[in-house]
Amino acid sequence: MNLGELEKLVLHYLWKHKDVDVKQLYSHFINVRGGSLNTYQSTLDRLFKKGLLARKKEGHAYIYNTKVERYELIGQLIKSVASDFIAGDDSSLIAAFSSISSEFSVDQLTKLEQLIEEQKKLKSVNKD
Amino acid sequence: MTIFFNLLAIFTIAFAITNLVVSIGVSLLGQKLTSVQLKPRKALLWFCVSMPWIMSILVCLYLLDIYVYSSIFETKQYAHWHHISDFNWFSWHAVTIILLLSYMMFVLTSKTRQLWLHRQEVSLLTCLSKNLSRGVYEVEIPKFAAFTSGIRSKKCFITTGLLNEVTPEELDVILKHERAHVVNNDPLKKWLFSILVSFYFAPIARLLTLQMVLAMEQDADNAVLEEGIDRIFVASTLVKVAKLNAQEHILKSSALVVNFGADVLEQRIYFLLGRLQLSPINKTVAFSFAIALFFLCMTSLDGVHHLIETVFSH
Repeated sequence: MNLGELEKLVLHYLWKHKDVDVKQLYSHFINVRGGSLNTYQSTLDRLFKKGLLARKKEGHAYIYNTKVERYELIGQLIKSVASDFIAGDDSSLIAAFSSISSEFSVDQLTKLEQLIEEQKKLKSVNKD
Repeated sequence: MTIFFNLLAIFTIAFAITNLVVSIGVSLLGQKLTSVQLKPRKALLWFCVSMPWIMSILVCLYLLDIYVYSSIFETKQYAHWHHISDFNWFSWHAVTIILLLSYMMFVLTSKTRQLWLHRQEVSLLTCLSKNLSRGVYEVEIPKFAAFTSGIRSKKCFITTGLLNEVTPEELDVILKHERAHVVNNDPLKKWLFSILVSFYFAPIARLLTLQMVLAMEQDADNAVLEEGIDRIFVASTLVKVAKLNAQEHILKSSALVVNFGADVLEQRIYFLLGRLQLSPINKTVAFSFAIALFFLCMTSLDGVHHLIETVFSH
């Protein structure tokens, strides 16, 4: 799913402001970047169709809100693209520096740290 | 057309025989793969997952060739198919063909869908991230992760949480590791590997995937070492990042930890600290295995055919 520049701006605005209709959006952006009311109406429509916005009808106008908060959306996206190592299988299409969702034990990580420390000591002894 | 359908039935049987033999080999020797050098290990893993396809195609081509140029099917010598000129849709042959083709369609559809959804998510994530430098994006979230994604245009993502916790030297290690994945085209290779491995039983598929992911990670770690960075420093950076991004999942009891990521991490640390003795692969043994497998497929084709027909009719 691609987001155009205006779509990103509108999404960021809606993350900061709740219950926005197209006229409020237009009056904010007209001073910032211009454009017509129709441009903003179609941007809101596109974001709604992409599943990023929710809307309800009040009188003749739609009132828009984001479906999820910014951090929540990014968190969901990361969780989804990095669905590695869940259920013991790597079905993800990413290559992560270190597994993002794995469970490590304290013992296991401590053991690895001890191993690294031992190697450091061995290296410094060899240098001396 | 009859020949084509019979060849498809032959393909299915040869595919199943090869799959079974490779599965037995992998279950017996799979764990030993970690002690094989990186490049030959990767080649061997690709060889294992593509073997059923290669063998089945070779067997079909060979049988097609001798069908066209000789009467071996009639003489019942060596390799043959005793009714190459007949094909009945109400037979087990048709059932096996339909099963194989249906499963192939299912795998291709689900993997293509996975790729499509993944592309959508990555492009949305790119839109919501800050471009730090060419191909590197900062994901503004207080979590700890760094990864490479994308099939055609590859991107490295690093979270703000991780950026705030690592030193510039550690960040350099992370980015060099991720760039190695970009150079090696690992996201695409992972996708292709996942398609081929889908034709194996789940435990074998899991073992092969684990070995491939480990080999890819070790290869990327190796690329960092080749840039002259100290191996102990790379290992400690890796453990530091593992500790950070596992914070929410950390477990007190190691008895519960039998997972993919933990196994990969441990092996990578041993590899980085030079505690693994990696040996080359014996090419003659691998080649002989392939030849033997080809002959096994050829000789057992009609045997399997008759075995099935003790239960099912034509």
